[in-house]
Amino acid sequence: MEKKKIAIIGGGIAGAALGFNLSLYDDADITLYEKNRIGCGTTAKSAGTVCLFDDSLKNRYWDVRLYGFETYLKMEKEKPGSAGFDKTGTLVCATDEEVEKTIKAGIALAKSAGYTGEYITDKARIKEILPSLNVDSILGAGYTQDDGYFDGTMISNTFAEKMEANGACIKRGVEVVKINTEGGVAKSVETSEGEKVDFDVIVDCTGPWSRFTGELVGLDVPIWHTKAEAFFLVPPEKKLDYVFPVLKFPAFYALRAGDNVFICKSHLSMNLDDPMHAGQWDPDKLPQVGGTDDYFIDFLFDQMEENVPGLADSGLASSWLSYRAEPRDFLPILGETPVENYFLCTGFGGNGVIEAPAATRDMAKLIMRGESTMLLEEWAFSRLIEEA
Amino acid sequence: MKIAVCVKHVPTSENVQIDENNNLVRDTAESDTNPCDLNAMEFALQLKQQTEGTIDVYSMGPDIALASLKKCLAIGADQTYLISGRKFAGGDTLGTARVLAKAIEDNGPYDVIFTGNESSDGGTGQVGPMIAEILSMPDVSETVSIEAKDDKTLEIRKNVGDGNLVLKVKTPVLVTVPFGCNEPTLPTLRTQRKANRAEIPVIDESMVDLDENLIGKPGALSIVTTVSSASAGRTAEELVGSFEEIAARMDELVEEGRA
Ligand SMILES: Cc1cc2nc3c(=O)[nH]c(=O)nc-3n(C[C@H](O)[C@H](O)[C@H](O)COP(=O)(O)OP(=O)(O)OC[C@H]3O[C@@H](n4cnc5c(N)ncnc54)[C@H](O)[C@@H]3O)c2cc1C
Repeated sequence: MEKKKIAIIGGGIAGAALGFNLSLYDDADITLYEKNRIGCGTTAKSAGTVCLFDDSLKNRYWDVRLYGFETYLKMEKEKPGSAGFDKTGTLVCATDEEVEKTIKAGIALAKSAGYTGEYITDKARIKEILPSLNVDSILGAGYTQDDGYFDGTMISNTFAEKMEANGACIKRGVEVVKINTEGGVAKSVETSEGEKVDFDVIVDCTGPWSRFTGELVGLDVPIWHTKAEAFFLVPPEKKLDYVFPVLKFPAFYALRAGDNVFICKSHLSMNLDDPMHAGQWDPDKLPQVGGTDDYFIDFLFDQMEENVPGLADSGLASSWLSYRAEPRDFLPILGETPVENYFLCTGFGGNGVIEAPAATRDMAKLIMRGESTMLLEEWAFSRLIEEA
Repeated sequence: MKIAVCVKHVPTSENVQIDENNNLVRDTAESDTNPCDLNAMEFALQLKQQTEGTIDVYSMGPDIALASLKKCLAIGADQTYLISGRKFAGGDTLGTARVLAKAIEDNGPYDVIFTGNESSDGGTGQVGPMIAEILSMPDVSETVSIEAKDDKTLEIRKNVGDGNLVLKVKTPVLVTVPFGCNEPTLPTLRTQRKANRAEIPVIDESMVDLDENLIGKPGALSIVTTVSSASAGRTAEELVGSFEEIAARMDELVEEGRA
């Protein structure tokens, strides 16, 4: 059987999930190049929340959310720990009627899929769920006990393990340094090991590196970096003596990290035209920890003081900075590009953990069978060219 | 009590750059507060509470050291000073101690001066005792606890290998503090935000009245001739493979006494 030779560049959650989905086709011959370690880029700094309802990904794409959630649940069931699931539940706070409407629709969708969910207006009950919350500043809250957060790095490594078991090849610690084209067709990659390998299809899964990767084929990949600054708080009482649910407000979110609380400004509240929020930077220069701006401390402190006063005087244990890869409309870029045989599977911004399973399932079908899907049509590269 | 703390801002990344004179390029390195200096800061806070004292923190280094000073402010320092100037650069431990001692003397007198035992980048452990020598005060090292008995006397427990010595010490005294002997107080979002807005005074070379030949490069009695990274050598092994394979290999290494 003639096999299709496919190169995947990047072994974050997008590359690893794509590698797994492609490895389910017996006529795919896959090589994944990861210049560092699997799941060590943006994925490693992710909060990993995949909640049944919140405003991070519009309800229009609720099936994408559900598919991601259930993929990881099954992964976790198959081998406990392999998706790093922490079932804390989620509390989504309605700050105004618009948000309230979105939450209520999300609850209906969750229930339709057989999960629990309720919209609570009894403030005492909300406070029972999260004692440090200021319930006066919200109309109500959506709550489910069924979801929580996952570990993106664990998931990436589980996908990597599965794709290898299916016969795919992973080149760890190998960087793609050159992509050769002939007459506008991508033909081969050259690596940091000095190898040159021909491929039928080359897929960019390099997330925030995609501008650099795109340059290798002369493609301007329209993504911005938004600063994802996460802070780890030690609550004043030092230990959380209750299950801290994933807490979502439109402008920020929080979740438990051991005995600490992880907080971050939400990706949809980032303004691509504000240099404090967004720009073009070099992800290779990101420090492992630290590197955060005073701006985000100010912002998050104000949010805590107003909404979660019980956490405003928490100790600040550590912080990290990462770059989300965001296209203008905060949705990923999937599929073909003007360079023939060169595909994009990038720009997952603040939702890559949620979106990777459905996005890469469809990408694999497109690459292997040439069949598109509604999702791929909506998230195609061409939408951004037309916009520009 | 009037308390001074010396704090160093050090590189934390393994990927530090070295310039042609074998000096660390501090402006570009990933950096943070020298870990044991935060333990020193913690003892300073304890003494401040016990004696209703004040804490001044000094850091000699480039502008990135402001991050450490702001952290100290957020933890509970009353005033911080950045000591920075071209003429201070390229010095050895003695030059550093001379500059720090002079700045401390000019703002003093202090009852207690704290430093960390050593810096994680230089690791000489010399600067604290040198400051004590220059300022003609005793120094106590390997401190594990400290308590004010009255406004002129401290009770200090000092680790001596198998046990602790309990010392009664008259101030002024310099105390060096090892890493891990206490749990440093954390800044909070609230205090860090306030500290981030603070104006930190800079003590530059024009404000430190020292002979130029005694500080910086001209004053250095020791020079670093080569810098090489500590090789992990043959004992380092990257564990790759499936979870099971990695776990099995870890098991073997533990058996072999190598992990
Ligand atoms: C603080 C934070 C919180 C987040 N919270 C959530 C959340 O709650 N829920 C959610 O769904 N999403 C969340 N996200 C978003 C999510 O983590 C990302 O969308 C996702 O991890 C992106 O994955 P990726 O595979 O596209 O990119 P990456 O994980 O960055 O992977 C790209 C990989 O490409 C490799 N690479 C780059 N160039 C080359 C080359 N030339 N050759 C070989 N390899 C190369 C890199 O080493 C890297 O490993 C969050 C992100 C952050 C930063």
